[in-house]
Amino acid sequence: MSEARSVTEPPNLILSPVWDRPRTGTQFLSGDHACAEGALYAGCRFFAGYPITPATEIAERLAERLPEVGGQYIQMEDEIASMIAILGASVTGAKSMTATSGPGFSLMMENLGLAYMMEVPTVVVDVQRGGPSTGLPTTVGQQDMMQARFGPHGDFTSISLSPQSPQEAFNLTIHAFNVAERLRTPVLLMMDEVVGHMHERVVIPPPGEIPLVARPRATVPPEEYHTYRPGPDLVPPMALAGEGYSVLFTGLTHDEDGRPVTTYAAQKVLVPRLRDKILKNRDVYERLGLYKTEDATTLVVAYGITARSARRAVDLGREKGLALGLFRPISVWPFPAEQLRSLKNVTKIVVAEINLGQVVLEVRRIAGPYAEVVHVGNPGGQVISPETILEACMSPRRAKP
Amino acid sequence: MAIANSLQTSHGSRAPIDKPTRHHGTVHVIELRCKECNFCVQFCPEEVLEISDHYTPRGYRPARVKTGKEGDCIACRFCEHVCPDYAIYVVEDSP
Amino acid sequence: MTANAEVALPPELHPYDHLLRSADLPTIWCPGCGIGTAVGALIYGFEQAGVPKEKRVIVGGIGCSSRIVFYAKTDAYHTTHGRTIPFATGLKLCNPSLNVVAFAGDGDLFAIGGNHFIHAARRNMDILVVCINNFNYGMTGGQGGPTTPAGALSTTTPYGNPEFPFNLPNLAWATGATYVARWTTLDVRRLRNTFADVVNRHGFRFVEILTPCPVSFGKTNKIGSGVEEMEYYQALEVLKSRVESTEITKTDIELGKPIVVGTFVDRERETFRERYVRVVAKARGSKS
Ligand code: SF4
Ligand code: SF4
Ligand code: SF4
Repeated sequence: MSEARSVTEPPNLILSPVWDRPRTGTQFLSGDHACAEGALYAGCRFFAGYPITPATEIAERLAERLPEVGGQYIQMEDEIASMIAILGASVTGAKSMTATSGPGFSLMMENLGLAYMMEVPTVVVDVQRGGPSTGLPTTVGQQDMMQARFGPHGDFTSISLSPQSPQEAFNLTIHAFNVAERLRTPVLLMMDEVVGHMHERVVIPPPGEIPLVARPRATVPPEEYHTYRPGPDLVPPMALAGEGYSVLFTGLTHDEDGRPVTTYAAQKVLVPRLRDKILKNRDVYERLGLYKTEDATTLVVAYGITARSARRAVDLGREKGLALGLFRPISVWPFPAEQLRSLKNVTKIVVAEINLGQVVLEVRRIAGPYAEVVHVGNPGGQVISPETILEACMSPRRAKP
Repeated sequence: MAIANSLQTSHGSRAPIDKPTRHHGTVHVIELRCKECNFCVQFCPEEVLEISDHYTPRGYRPARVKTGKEGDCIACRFCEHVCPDYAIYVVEDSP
Repeated sequence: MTANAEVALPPELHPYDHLLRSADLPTIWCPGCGIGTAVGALIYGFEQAGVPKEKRVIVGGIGCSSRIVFYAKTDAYHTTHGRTIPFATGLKLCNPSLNVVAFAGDGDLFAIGGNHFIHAARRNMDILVVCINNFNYGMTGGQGGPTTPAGALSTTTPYGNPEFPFNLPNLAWATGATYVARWTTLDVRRLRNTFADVVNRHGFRFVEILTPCPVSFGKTNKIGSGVEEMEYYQALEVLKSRVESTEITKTDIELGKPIVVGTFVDRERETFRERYVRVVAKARGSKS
């Protein structure tokens, strides 16, 4: 054994994450670059990814920027490896992220499921393009929304956020990290090609102005610690690798110590808790954009780039004297159902999204009993125009079959 | 057991002057862990071990030291190292 | 596997009990399986090399071997099938003071996870990869896999395996591993010493352990019980150390033919981390 290289880590290989290169102030950035800057602002110091249009610019930006702040960028052999590498990073306490688009997102599903089961905080960005399969690599889609909700096998509850602009991509990336840390869960940032590639003014505040949230950490001594014993908020405090807790993380159904217990009895404790820790902590992640909804009788529901067309449609409709409003779920999943139901005057809802009908299914489930729910969409490839949305708002109520 | 005797039996009549004294060990079997795999029995260089004739509550016949072989263990620990179930270990007797 | 509570354990303790999740013993592994032997050897390696307990990390995939995480008392991550190496990669990069071992089976590491293996070796990632090679998929009942010898029987090669297996040391050498050894569980002493030697080293290190799997591979191929598979190794093992690179192809495993074991590769090469630290210096220097 060669003594010179026998220590676990020579001091010169320890990178200390620093934050002395913030690019603050007003900038002109693409949504992808704004997302990358948001990750840095949030304290992300590890990115593992694989090039894919239209998310590549996030990786490129971070390959340049992460080493500047003492972080690390690694280009993995595929998206499967990227997804699980960020989980390995996160169990040491590092904030980690990957970014991809449809085909890569599909490859990430199994290990995304592992993140839900092992309760590992991390952020996954999907810059959506037209699908299925290779589809439309360079043009827009919002067709991965149901995959975001139900992609991995088994029952779990997804938190998915959708920005409508580069500025919001920046802010929501920070929010995504905060939520992931707070609830020990992966958070999905569901961008789209247009938001990813459009350049707009982005204001990056000085460090500290946007609060950052840290994950709940183990505080009791190792003898009293249980890897998966939840706190009152249903989130188990996390012991990091190397802290002396001999933690046991597994994707198998497990007890509070992480021991595999593959029985119905264990499953019915664990899986509902994983759901409830999301559903009972809505205030942690829920964000909603409401526009002229107070007196609206017809509501447009839209997210991401489509919300901007929808806002224009609302203005055009208002000019014509129509009582239109925009309901923009920024946290698309879990869908803000209560807020939708609370808009009592609504009799018609137009759900606009660049797909053949995904989030509309949830809106219909929620509002179907009291409102007419109409879908406006396309199979991917172009943004939905305000006129198309307005037309759907104005079309006469369909006769009941 | 007289160490000198044991040296004579295994190395001939002349006690080696350049070798340390021969080690001797006591074998312990944690019966409930033993799965009767036979690794220790088969590969003990002194053929000290055998499978017993009683069953543990888990349904295996645990390894044990052969009657009369109690003094023959040379504390080489091969049994301890090869046992896949951490069921056997050896405490070296002080010379 | 039966519950442990039925009879209280006798007071005497195995010297490794404090390094094991001993309340969960006996292990799930079949009688005559060699995985536990390999696990014990790794624990010895950690101890002997003086790796602090809190710095030990084991990453397992899915399969019999990956069950190590439930018995060895370290920080332990039981991940998905085939993904031990990229998980270990992220973990090691974000806390380089940890001593990270990826421990999995041949199917996990070289079929579903093969791509990760070659790329981590290429990058010279600072991890020790331990492969339990039992020549088949044991946990799912003995299907053929990437190391099943040509012609060998398994539940999915009932007429004899038509495929050729990987030669794992050769693959590891060719893709850039800095240390490559192959032992059988019968060579437990050498295996223990190997672990003691390599756990603290840098770079991508690979140890293949040929392990009896009596209920699947051994039974199907009429090798017999675990102890008979060990005797099979005893009869066929040929020890060769520091095999020349041109010779490493001669370490193929064929049924009934000699099995070459030993330390095949031991070389130095810059690691990913060493190179990345320079990237950081460059990025910070050029922009200040
Ligand atoms: S220590 Fe060696 S001699 Fe003693 S019982 Fe074990 S294998 Fe046999
Ligand atoms: S090696 Fe261990 S499990 Fe196997 S027979 Fe001996 S004591 Fe029992
Ligand atoms: S199936 Fe084979 S590898 Fe798996 S525990 Fe049993 S003997 Fe070991």
